[in-house]
Amino acid sequence: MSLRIVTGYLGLSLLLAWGAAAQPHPPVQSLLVRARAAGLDAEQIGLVTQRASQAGLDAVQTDALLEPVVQLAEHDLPTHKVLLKALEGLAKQISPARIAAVLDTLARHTERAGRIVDAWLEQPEARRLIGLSVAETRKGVPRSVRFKIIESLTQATMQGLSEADMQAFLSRMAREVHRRDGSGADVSTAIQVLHDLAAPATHLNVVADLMIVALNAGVSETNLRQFPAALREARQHSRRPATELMTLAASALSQGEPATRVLNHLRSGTLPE
Amino acid sequence: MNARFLGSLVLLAWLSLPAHARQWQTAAYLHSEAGSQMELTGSLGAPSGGIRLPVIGYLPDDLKADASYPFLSLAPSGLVRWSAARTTMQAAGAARYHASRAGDAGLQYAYARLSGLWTIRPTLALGLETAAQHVATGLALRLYRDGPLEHDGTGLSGLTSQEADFWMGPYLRWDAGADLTLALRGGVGHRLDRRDVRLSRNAYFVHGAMNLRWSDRWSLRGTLYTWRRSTTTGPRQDAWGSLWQLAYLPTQATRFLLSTEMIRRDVSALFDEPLLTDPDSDGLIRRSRSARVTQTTWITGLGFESDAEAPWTFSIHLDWIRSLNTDLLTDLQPYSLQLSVGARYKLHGGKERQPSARALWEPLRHGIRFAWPAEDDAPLYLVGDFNNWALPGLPLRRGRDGYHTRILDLPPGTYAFKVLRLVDGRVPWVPLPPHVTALDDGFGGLNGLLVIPNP
Repeated sequence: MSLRIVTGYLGLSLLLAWGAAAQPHPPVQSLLVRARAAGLDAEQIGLVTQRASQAGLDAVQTDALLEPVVQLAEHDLPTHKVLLKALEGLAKQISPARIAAVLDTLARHTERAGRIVDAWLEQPEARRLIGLSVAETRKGVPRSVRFKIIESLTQATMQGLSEADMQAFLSRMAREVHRRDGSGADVSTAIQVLHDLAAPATHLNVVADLMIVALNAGVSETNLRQFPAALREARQHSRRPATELMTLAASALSQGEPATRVLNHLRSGTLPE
Repeated sequence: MNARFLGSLVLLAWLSLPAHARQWQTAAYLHSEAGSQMELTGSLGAPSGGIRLPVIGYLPDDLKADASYPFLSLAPSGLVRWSAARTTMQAAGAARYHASRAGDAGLQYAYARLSGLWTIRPTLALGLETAAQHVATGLALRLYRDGPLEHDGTGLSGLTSQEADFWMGPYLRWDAGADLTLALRGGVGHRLDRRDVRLSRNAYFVHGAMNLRWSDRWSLRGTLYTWRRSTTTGPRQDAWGSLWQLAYLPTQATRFLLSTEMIRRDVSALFDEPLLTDPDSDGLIRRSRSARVTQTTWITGLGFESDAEAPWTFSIHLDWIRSLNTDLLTDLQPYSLQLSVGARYKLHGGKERQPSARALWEPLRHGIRFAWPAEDDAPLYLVGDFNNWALPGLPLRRGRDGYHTRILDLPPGTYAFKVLRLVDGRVPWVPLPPHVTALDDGFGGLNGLLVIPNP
């Protein structure tokens, strides 16, 4: 083999290699098939692969982002937040390995939250709490409601609340919330607010008490979401401990005080004892 | 039209203002005190002995009590504040009517201040303020008239010592943190000091001060440094301010140790006269070095729904007052020791709306109006869960109120977001203001959180 042939061969190889590297890497076909089979939104997957390609990620790195999403979908667990987190990481130009690690963590928390919520929804009281009649209960819990509660629980555990605490809170809600016209949205909101209210120095039982009283009093989802900010203002104005303020707020709600008035009292630091 | 009538008119005007209007805040207080006052005198000049105490100052060794009698005071005060996005205008006023068995009833103190504040950045504001005060006290004159001093026949008898100050100057306020505010003040002023016909004098002065306000579990509020120079005469008020501040800090520890959830005890020391005080401050203490023990109890739940502090405040005061400088009149220095109980009733009130603490969004009939405080004219973009984190994001429009805004019509839910600016193709993320609800993004940063409730 002459030198000219060897040089030409090497040049052609380099040209082919460069051409292959310049093209965006599609995800591994089997992963896409699995995603489709699991019912994942093709548009969302396509968005992640497109952004990953634009960010210069190779096929292996892109697969690492998609794998936890596909696994969640295969277990009938919500994937929307994980996909958004992948897009967020790419927008913030985080390293692919770091994004994959965060997605793995998020997926693990989602799986655990799914197990807790599924076990909780086995209880008839829990199903009645989210507004399902006996007939509807036989058909199963609507997917959107289940996903919403799982996402809230995932966020709460990601921010540091323990699974045992969350299980205890869900059980208390099923046992102690007697209003049975909920839609699931307020349960999901209560979990989120519980997490927002649970400052390090606050006893979780007190926060849970407030949430349960609020749900029993029929406090709207909108008002429920305003409690964390109102309590922050109350602490600034009155310099009382958060635990005391929450106890006073729960007491006022249980005595029939309208939620808007309790929120106003909190904001102005004039909550009656 | 006398001052009392004018004061009543101003108070009525305050009360009639629409407090519920978003940009208006009003507050009005009525403070009353009753107690016993003991008057003492001691030598001035270069005494043979005596001690110098922190807070109280020099005590001559020939200090002796001259008289003791009950007194009653009534002090209305109030403020009106108008706030737009970056501008705040405020008028504040206070007066104190004092009556005692010694027969010196009358308006002892009146104070008015008008200030305008412009928010340069969310944590930095620049203002201009102008103020006037009138102080009348019969304490020193009473000593000359009824006390141990002999009247010298020069027309002092029956006169009240009066001072009128007017000053104006710039004002810079920096919110160094969520709980810490530093203010720099300066200005020029004019003082008319009238003891009697012979001793009337005009003084023009320049002053500067640094005030601090820190509130957390402990709170601290005082003057870090005051400087004042007059063309005629005036007390030195410079480096001592810093020393007093050091003395002030341990008193906060005392306050902390004695605190309970509902009862607050203040032990505070004021050095000489802070030039600018809150409208509800005690006029008498302005004119003296004082030590004060204040016990404050808030009683809440009297049915007030206004955006305000508790309506009732009770206090116990122990004041040590060194009266006005009498260097031109006598070589004796009058002092007063007062023990009083007081009650303050908040007639009507509202809290200050800090421009920097403005909510980032307000709900509309459909969706929300997102508003971000503008640091400069650089274009800003909003990116987050709602647009799948697509860069550069949704452009924000700079409004005339100093905020970058955008109407967002989003379904109910929670959305993580960030604000960014584009500079030469780079993407610097704009830090979140401290009061915004933020969540750890998992990547070592923070996301803001938009919450769109169900309609």
